Amino acid sequence: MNIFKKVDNIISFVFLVVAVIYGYLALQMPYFGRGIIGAAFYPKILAIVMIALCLIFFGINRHPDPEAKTVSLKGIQPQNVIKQVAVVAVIAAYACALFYFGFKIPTFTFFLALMLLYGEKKWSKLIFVPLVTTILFDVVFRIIFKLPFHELSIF
Amino acid sequence: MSSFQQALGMALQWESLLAVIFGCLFGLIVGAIPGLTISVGMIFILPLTFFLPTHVSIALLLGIYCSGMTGGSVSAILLDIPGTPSASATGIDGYPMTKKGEAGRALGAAIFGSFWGGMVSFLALILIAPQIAKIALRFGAPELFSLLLLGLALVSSFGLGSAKSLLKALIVATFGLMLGTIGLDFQSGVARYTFGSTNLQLGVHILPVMIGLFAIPQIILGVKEEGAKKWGTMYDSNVTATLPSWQDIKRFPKGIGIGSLIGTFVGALPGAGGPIAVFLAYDYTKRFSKNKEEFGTGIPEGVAAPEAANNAVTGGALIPALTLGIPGDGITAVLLGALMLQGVKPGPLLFQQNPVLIYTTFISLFLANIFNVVIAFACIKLLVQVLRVRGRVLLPIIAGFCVIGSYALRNNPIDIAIMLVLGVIGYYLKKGGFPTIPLILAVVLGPSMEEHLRMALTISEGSPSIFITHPISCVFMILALISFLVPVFSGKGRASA
Repeated sequence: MNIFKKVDNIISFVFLVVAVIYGYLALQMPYFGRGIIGAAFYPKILAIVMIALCLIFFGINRHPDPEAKTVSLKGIQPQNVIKQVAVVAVIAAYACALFYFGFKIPTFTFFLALMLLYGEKKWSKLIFVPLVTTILFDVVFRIIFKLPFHELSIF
Repeated sequence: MSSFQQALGMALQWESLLAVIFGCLFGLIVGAIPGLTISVGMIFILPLTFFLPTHVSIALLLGIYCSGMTGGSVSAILLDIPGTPSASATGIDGYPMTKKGEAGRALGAAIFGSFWGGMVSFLALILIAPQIAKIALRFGAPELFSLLLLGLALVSSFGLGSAKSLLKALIVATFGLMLGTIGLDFQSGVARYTFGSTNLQLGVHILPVMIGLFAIPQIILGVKEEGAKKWGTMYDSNVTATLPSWQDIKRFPKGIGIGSLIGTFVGALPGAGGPIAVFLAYDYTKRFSKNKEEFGTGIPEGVAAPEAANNAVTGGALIPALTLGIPGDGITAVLLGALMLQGVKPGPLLFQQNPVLIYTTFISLFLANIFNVVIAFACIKLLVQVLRVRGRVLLPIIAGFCVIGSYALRNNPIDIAIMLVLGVIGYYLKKGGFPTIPLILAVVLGPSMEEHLRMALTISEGSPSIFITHPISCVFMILALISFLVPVFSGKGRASA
């Protein structure tokens, strides 16, 4: 059986790769002489532990398990996957936009886009909720708590 | 003026009282909405605490904690959907009562049980916590490292039924410890895993980690149709909580007593938490009841007992969190994170160095339990209406708070990136059946673990035998080993059975 058919095996493999890179980078850290427990000491231990745990996990998880979740294209609705990716993309885009386009326009657009993605269809709500929320966020975070956001001069 | 008097003055300031009241109201709402956990509710409000004094922040968060537990019962009783995992057992008798037209009586029993559960655990907290802190003050570096390792071991292994589940928990816990090493090394100042970024030199803060792991997966999953629907319309929207009758009150003491004791004890065990406590409380109340056969058909003591248990968890969970700095579950991890944001380091030294804050916490917990019952009875109609709010309105607002909250922490854009990356990781961990609580606790405990490990090894000139030769440390190590072995052997036993 291909071990990568199981979701948890794929995740463990990713952790294994991360641990190998993590351990390699720990070996590159400066060392200040013999007998001193330096900055690399603890990361090296963690890298070894993580690699060992992932390998043991592969060892015991290679056999078919009727309850295990497997990666199968059957049953995955592409529309939902695209929407989920879009939600992450919208959040990332909002985070970037905050530092280039100011607070108000990105915030309003962010709420509008997310509500559309979540399936809101009424235009009255699509305008009202983002508008009220943007004003609330602006008053609380930018005006009262004075969070430093880049602000376009026209707004 | 004594520390207690100072604390009383601080806890009774109008800002603190307002914070507790707002926290209780917010906690009830958050708890009532299925899918929004108390942790997410706390994270939602956390950015506001950056701008509040420590004692006011604590009052606010404790209000959310106590009332969130009670709020979870509303949807469990009305919809048979627990608002929080800790309300899982409430619907067993609560929902049949709703079907019988006794929703108000069930809600009243839940609030009544919650109050007494909270009060019993409050007493346990004020009596036990100072004693544990006194003992813990004698611990040196080896004991503290072993204790933190034990805390992490318990959280990673509690309630797991197989070696595979244990391995999954340990993998994510190790990943959390790895995240904790990012930033400048505390001893040598060497930059570790910063990739040349000055923003990363400050390290990975617990708040973006928690937001990412708790809130973002829910936001991603919510985009599916079922996450965006409104929760329910299958109950009478005019329902209101009624004070328990004298007949009902006479039936409660045994169940509430059992629930309160089990909740406090289970809450104090790192990793156990509310869901385990409520089922144990329900089961034991049923066993010791004269009317065993009536359980499950819709009786008020079947509602009061698990509700007493889940509110008793609050005081119990604060015992290891405040005295040893070991958060027992995700909610107390958020609480500790909030305290750390204010520059307060929970642990035995806190009892010695800042007794005023400790007493303020105790008094705020007491007030939270009082306000919880008052506000719950007064605002039950509002909660019933809140259940009709659509996810498609709520989830975008939560997403906005996640982004701004992560940034507000240190005005550092890297925190938003960390939050989002960990959110995606958290989503896949959820899909793969990996628990996320050990990861969060590892990020919280990781830096202290490293500090005490290196200190202990420096004392012993590199010999790891120091963890065995010190008796208390040795006991902790043995307990940690046992907690690792239990799931392995229980899994084998189950497999062979």
